[in-house]
Amino acid sequence: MAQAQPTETVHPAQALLRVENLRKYYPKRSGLLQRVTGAVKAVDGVDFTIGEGETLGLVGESGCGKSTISSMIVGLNSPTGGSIHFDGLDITNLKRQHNGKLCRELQIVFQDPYSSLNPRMTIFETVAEPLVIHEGLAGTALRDRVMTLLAQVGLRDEHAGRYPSQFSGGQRQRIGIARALALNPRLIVLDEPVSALDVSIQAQILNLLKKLQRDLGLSYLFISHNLSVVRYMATRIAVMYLGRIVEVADRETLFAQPAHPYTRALLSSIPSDDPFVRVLGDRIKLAGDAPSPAAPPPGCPFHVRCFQAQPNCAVQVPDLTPRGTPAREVACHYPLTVSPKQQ
Amino acid sequence: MSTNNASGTPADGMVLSVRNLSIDLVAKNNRKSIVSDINFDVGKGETVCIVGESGSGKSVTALSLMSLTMPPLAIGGGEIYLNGQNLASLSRLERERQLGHQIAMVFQDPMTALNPVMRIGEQITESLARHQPELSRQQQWQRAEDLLQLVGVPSPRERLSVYPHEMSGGMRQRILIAIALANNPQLIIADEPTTALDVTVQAQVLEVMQEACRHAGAAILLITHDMGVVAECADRVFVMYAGRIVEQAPVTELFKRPRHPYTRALLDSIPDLHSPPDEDLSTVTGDPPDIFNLPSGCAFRTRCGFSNGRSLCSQERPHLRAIDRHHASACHFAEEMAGVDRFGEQD
Repeated sequence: MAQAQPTETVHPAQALLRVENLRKYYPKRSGLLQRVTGAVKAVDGVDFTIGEGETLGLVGESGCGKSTISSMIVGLNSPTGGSIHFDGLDITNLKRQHNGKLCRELQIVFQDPYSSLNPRMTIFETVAEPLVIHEGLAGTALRDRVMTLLAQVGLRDEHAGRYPSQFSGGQRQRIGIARALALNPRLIVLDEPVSALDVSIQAQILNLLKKLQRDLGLSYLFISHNLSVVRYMATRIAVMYLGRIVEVADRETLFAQPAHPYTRALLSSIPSDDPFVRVLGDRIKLAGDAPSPAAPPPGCPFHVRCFQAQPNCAVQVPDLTPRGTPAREVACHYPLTVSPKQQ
Repeated sequence: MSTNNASGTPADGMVLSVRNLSIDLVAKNNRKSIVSDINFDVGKGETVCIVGESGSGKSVTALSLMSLTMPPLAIGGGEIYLNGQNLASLSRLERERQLGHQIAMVFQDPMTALNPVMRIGEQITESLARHQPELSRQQQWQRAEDLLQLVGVPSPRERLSVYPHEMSGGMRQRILIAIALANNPQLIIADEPTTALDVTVQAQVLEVMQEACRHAGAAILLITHDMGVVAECADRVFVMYAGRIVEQAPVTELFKRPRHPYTRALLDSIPDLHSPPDEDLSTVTGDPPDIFNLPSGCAFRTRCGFSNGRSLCSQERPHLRAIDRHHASACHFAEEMAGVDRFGEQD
């Protein structure tokens, strides 16, 4: 585990969610008898905290383990090791259905609004279900609460009786958000909430999520592969690579002065928003593809693609340690000091 | 060059000319146009982007160019000219010979576009054998190896004998590009070639595709929903909305002075690395249109922040018309947007 001393800026004092040394290994079987011969380290020693009312962005490319983390936090997947504390309570191996507080206060919005809603339940039933189970609401009280929730996410009363198939992707995602809000949660895990939506709809949903956060004081874990979207949503951003967090920093710091070579390469791969200034030609070109988590390279998982790698990078795994001013945590033996976009 | 030519004749010197193309959805006793009035040209070596949201008709347009429309979709009318030759006038056999040879396609999903039980080398040489039967077996394999080299696949000779599942998504997309380039086509149609890929891999693949096409002298027709990809790659852009082209312009012009409210709203709603993160994003209100239930008049008017309920918008469907020499917009009030410049500081 990282022996990092938490610093003020990187770890807010009031942590609502604290994840420590979280690991998820899947057994790798081979041979005739399907014996366990190794492990796929989907998540390998991840630490982070989310403060009250804060949004932590988690970015990384596919297969880096970000969705595995989200499923472990909401209890859909059990960790191999490490701990998850929510509001001071150890929830690592807690059965969610036996803990009403947890069900209420920790919710998730899934990526795909087409598969995450039950096609045979009306919108009213979908949003009412948690209220019936956890709060025992019925009749007018239930109806009023559901209608308030629908209004909160920008849907109208007449939508309540319809089925998911009658809605567009953006509206379905609003329904998923209403369902997550039903029990007045404190933390919502947003796992790629806009990546399945049309571009013209993404901004609506992002604005809605921000408004709800302002109005209700919510905390978000915002998972995305889109750095521009994460920059817009999160105040603090963690970058993942091959099951580990390689850098955590404030939004401004991360974008202006990325310290990990992977972060810098990732930032330089974002297409330009301005055809007068095409940027991809000048990007940092990474060698090869991301290695499989089933066979990670020894030492720093990034060293085989890294443009800064030194011999000892192949031997020693760098821990996530606080470095430099402005403060950030970075898991690199040779972090970058010069900013690529220094003004 | 006139790209507004709707008179039914191909423009001179263009690789591809599409005139008045419409695509219908055919049911038992019903026909409904889902794409209409598509006119565009692609010149030699150019990169032309068609950008639109899902359901705007961009992918079926691409499929129709390759004669890949399947029932219930059918080409309802219009002509497709390949080097001035009307594809519809050719026999089926001749058309098949032209397609795949002069035009090739790169599909969106590299996971499903390759045959999982064929080695990479066989998949590349298959298209060579079909279109260049004069090549010997050995020449075909040599050409396949050269193609892998061209698209930046490391150790190409060894890769010829692996199966698709042994390669990553980015590598598979390179294989698809190599197959598309195999017969030296004049045009590659790439339908969302990087949507299934990660951002670092997307940058690699876009670069490889452009580089390889430049090397081979092929034009690219790039279908995408990603304005970032458009900004990086395009020479000219066609914006589609609800089955029609609503704006066309050179890429810098389109981003700087969009002349259709949809383009403008779309560009403004995308969070980028310069937008202030603590302000609300501007949005395109409402939902993407239902193609079977479009509003009267202009299909965008119900979401338009510019129409202000003006009656013309609901009464008459605006046609794509030239605003200036290279810029066309399908908005009744495109001239009112003349002062709009999205990059205030430039020129």
